[in-house]
Amino acid sequence: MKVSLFVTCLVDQLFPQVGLSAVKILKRLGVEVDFDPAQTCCGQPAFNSGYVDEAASVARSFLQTYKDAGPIVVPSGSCSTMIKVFLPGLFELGSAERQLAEEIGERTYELSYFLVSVLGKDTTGARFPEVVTYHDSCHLLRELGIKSEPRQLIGGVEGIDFREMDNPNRCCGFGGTFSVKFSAVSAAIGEDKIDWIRQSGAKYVISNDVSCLMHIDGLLKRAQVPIETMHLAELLAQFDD
Amino acid sequence: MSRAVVLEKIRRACAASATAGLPDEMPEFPSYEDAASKFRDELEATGGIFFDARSSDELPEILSQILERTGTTEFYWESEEVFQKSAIPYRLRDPEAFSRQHLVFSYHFKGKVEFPLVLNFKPYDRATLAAVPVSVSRAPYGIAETGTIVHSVTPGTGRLLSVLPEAHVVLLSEKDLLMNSVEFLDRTQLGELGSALTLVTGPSRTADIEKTLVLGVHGPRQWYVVLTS
Amino acid sequence: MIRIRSGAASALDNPQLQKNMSAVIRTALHSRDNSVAEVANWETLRQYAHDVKEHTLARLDSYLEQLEERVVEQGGKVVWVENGEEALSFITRLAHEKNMTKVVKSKTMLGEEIHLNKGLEAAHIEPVETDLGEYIIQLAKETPFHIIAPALHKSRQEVSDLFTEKVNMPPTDDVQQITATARRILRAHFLTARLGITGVNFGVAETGTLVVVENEGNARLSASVPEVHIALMGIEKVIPRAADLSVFLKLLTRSATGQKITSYVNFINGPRRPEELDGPAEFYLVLIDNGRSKILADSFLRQTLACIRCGACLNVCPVYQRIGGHAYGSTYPGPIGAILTPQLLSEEEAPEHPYASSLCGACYETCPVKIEIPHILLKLRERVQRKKNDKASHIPLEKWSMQIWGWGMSSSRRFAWFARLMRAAQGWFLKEKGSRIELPVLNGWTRHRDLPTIPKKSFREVFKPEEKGN
Repeated sequence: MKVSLFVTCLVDQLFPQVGLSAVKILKRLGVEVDFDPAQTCCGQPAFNSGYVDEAASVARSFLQTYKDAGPIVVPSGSCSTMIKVFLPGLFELGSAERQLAEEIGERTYELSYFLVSVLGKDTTGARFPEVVTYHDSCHLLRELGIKSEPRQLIGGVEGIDFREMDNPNRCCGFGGTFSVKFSAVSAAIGEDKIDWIRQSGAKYVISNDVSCLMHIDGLLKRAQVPIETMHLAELLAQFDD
Repeated sequence: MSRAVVLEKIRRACAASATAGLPDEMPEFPSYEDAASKFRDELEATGGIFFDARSSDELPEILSQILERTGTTEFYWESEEVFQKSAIPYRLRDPEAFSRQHLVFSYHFKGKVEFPLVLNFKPYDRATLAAVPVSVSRAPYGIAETGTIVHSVTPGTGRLLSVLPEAHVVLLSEKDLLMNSVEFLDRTQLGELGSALTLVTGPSRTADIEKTLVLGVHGPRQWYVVLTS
Repeated sequence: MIRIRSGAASALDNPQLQKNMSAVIRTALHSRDNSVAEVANWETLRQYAHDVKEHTLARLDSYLEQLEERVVEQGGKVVWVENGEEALSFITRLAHEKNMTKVVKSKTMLGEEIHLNKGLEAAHIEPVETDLGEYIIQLAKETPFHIIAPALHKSRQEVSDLFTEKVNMPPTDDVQQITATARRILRAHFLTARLGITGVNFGVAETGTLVVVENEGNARLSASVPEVHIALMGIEKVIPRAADLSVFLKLLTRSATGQKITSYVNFINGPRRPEELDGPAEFYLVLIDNGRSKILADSFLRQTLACIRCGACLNVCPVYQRIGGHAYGSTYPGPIGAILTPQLLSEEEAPEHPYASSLCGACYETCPVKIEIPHILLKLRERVQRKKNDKASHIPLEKWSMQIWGWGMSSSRRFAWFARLMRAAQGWFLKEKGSRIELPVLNGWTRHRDLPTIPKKSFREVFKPEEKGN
């Protein structure tokens, strides 16, 4: 099986190790990974801020990149949501672009869903003897309905001590440009999340979105809390090649 | 004038809206093997007080108990029909003076209720109503699912007698106990049971300050339901 | 123009408010969640109610006419008004004609929306709020903090102090005693007011029944004691069939307070009838548009009008939980307020409302009638930006950066170039300024959080050699 990896712009530029981990996992599970360097972004930042024309122009470039690709795997709940849920709506009903966007949306898979529900794997053979907790990112959970897959995969990691935090499904407060527009509110919401993470006793907080993790990590570091953030892909890649 | 303007705006906004019809399969509502005990549990959970008068002829004793709990010696009855429908023996102290425009009350020396009740009358006016300590009415239906009583304003009754007093007593016949609100709405054409109908469940309550529950804000603080056969 | 940010900041800086809110909202959330968990077919009920509302809104004109016909048949009068001013002028004219100087009111958010109390006072008619929470708010000269719990933000101590100051209550921290004081004062008002005003939760078209849901008994009294009862109803509150009330009531009360049913569900079918001993001699139903028909015109945004005002989306919203109701500066706060306000008013008047959300979707998940609040917020954000475009004489910074971003991201070459620029900037900054990056343009982020460090190489740079190695 061959998939095309859409790493997302944030992973590409800020968190390359997440992309590398995704590649490592997929390869181990026998999946051939293609990375098209023409990729940039799904258009979400503009779309979520109301700049629909700008989002559409980025989305067009996305469609061009992936029009002939096979299954697309994305290590992000919110970018998968943008592609699967919102992207078609940027184009006129009945237009060729709309049709293409819908077709691409159907063959786009968030990483944990792809591993569990498409490949049928609930372990990657990773080993991580640490205490971890998991944060449900909102779009992954509520737009895509993905809740059990990440937990299954975490459960499949050897030696792991998984502890569910209180309110794992409560928003971390990131919210894209919300984190800047309503910075203080965003941080206040995040502080609640930090409390629950701490109370779980975990040393690592796992999630499927680097955007949430970047926000949580920024708050943890500012408060000098010795808890690390880790993308699910990084956790699942804890094995020797 | 505005009627036409508003309606026209709505009409234009709705024009060409394609829509499915109303759903025709009512979602399932629960039924109970022992409706009376469900009714009792729910009613008590809301702070109501339940008396079971189905098996024995304990009604005078129950009513005496209610008088004791409310610290009064008088019951104000919704109408003469309450006695007829509940088969409570009574007689009018002054049949000549009987009129629908009166409040019917019974006085109970030392709080002891005995049948037949002797009924007196007071004028039905706001001042008298405002001073009523305990009123009694008969409910056309009860609803087991939520421990609810249906209170209606029937000919010869009013809206205020059941809501102004500190305590309200409801008589409900077991045969009028329905499983859920779907059964109630199936059976009743709203509007036919008077101009005001209320589903009453428990005493008046509020949680407006710190979500702390307080009973008896504007309506009755004590709420009794007597189930009869 | 309504701004949220400053109100949000002062709410966050108010530790007393934060303390009062958090415990109470937590209680409300638990009550709702436990209550909903008891209902095995909750999702079926939600979908059913959603479908009824969707159908009704698409045929609103005919259902309203049917409702009107039934109300009139039962001796009531129906008044249609376009906006708050018309509603107020009808109410005040009626009160003046009948020499009525006082109104007992039960809780109505629509009344808040049309600034009923202010209008009555201006016409020398005394409005008396009779719902305990609303009474507290009226004494404090505030607006409701929450659509079903108006005084949610006040501690018992604050309420006690308020009562001591305004109505000479001896100081107490006993909620029973505070409530008893309100009962005594308000009972006197009930017995003397000649006009009563209530809201309406549901107007049943087939029977002409106005349904008013409450716990205290004050709506029952407002609709029963005075000579005249006026019910204020938004045009969206009509439902076609009485039978569907079973579904709506179950959804409403469990979502709102976690109760299986409220203490009182009042069904009003017109004024008193000849054979009845009391009740209002006259009954008026005031049907209020006030911007609703405008919302109705958009077949996607129309679902905003399906709201049954349970307030569950407020409780579950992480933003509302932190900033509370007053920060929104509008009649309706929280997620429903964020979508309703810009539509009832205009996007220009409430441009921040659609942005006061992290789009987490908890509101949609909780909504008993399945209003797609997050998707509506996105649509409204689009409208806000389009309207800014229409008007802008200068290009604002955000628009400008989004355009550059859109241009940059539409090509991988430009994207890579931007990325190099970013790395160079970071390198310079770290060399010149030490470890923590703080820049005015990044303030929104760095005021509260550390920035991630940009790695030396991007994924595309490190992936390539591996690919070649395959």
